[in-house]
Amino acid sequence: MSHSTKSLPEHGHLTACHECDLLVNLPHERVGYRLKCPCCGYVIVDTRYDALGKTLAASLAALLLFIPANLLPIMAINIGDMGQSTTVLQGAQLMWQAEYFWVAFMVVLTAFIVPLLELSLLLSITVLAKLRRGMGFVVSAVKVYQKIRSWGMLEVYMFGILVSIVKLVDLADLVVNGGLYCFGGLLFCSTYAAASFDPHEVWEIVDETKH
Amino acid sequence: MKPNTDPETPAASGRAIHRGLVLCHDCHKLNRWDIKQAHAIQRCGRCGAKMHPRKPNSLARTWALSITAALCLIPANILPIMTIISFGKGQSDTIMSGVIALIHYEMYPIALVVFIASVAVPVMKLLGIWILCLSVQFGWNSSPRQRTVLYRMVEFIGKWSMLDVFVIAILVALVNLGALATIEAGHGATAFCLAVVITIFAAESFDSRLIWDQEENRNE
Ligand SMILES: [Zn+2]
Ligand SMILES: [Zn+2]
Repeated sequence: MSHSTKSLPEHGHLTACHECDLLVNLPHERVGYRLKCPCCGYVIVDTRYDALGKTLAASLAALLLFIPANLLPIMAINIGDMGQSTTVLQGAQLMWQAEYFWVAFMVVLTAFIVPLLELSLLLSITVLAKLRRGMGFVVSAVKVYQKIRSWGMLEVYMFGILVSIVKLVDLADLVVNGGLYCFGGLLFCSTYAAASFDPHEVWEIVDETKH
Repeated sequence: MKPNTDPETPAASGRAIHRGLVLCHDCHKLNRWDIKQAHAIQRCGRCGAKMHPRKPNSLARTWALSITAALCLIPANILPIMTIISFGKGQSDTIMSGVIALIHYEMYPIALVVFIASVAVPVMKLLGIWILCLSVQFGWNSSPRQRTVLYRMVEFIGKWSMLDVFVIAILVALVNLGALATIEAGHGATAFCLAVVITIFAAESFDSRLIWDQEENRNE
């Protein structure tokens, strides 16, 4: 393997694989291109038609659904005359009152704060990138978004709801409320927003506006 | 290593670290790396983040965090994670006894789901991390591609072990009917929660490029 830097192509068209550090030339066409690392198979670039617009729309829809999904009860239970319903935050609040601070903190963090922050960041990044403004904020927003991503666990929470339903369905009279459907919609929209988000496109816009 | 086998892929030319280039971890910009100032702080030209050719002390950190997580799994499995009190009688459940109770009530699919999420995933994730660490440390001869797949699995499955914690939080909120029935969380849930969090940190501190560095050293 040669160690010379003579034949190094232009910087803008060269990148390295995030997972194995292999140098790869970036293609010139910007849309509809998916580049897999030839060495380890990691997807280095995945540019889709109007990825920014898709992320914008999906994150906006998800943010709107976030409100009913967390305010309306997800489900309710009836035993005899007594009924009790729950939302994400009520569950955490009861854990907190029972002094399970760690558990309460993790539930609020992974099923409420991080998803909300992720969606707000995605929305502001895409809006500002479309307007070509506020690039200083966009740079830090993308960085924060990438750091917190592994802590958003909406899909796991959704699965937790399903498991709870199955566990309780024989024991008590269970009523599924509107909040659950909003939660399902929220999960769908936020997954789509995260999947369609293309940080490469945003970084290119950042570079463009700098010059 | 054959980097250029795929005709669709533009010609690649070795690894970034050998060309004096470093990929910024935050914005994925390729920056020049001044080897003469390897110990000084070098910042990314685009976003200003501190750059490291490889994550610093990756192996030592991953070992420390994953061993701590394994220790947390012990109280997480011994202490009860929740107690169901109905008609004055209390019944404590550990993770395993919860699974066994579900089998007892013939709820097999849900028992399997809870078992996978709360027992199999945490253990497999730690074992996966240890295999990766050992393979890098002792230069094991297995295929780097396979180990990369293992690394991705470890990253992907991590969050699913939070499932049982969420289920407890939902049940506690839902079944809180005073005299009839109450569900209380147990300290096992706290330990389990900690184990999950520390395992996620452990997986993040592992640098997958180490797998390929080692392969290259062998070929040279
Ligand atoms: Zn690669
Ligand atoms: Zn950078």
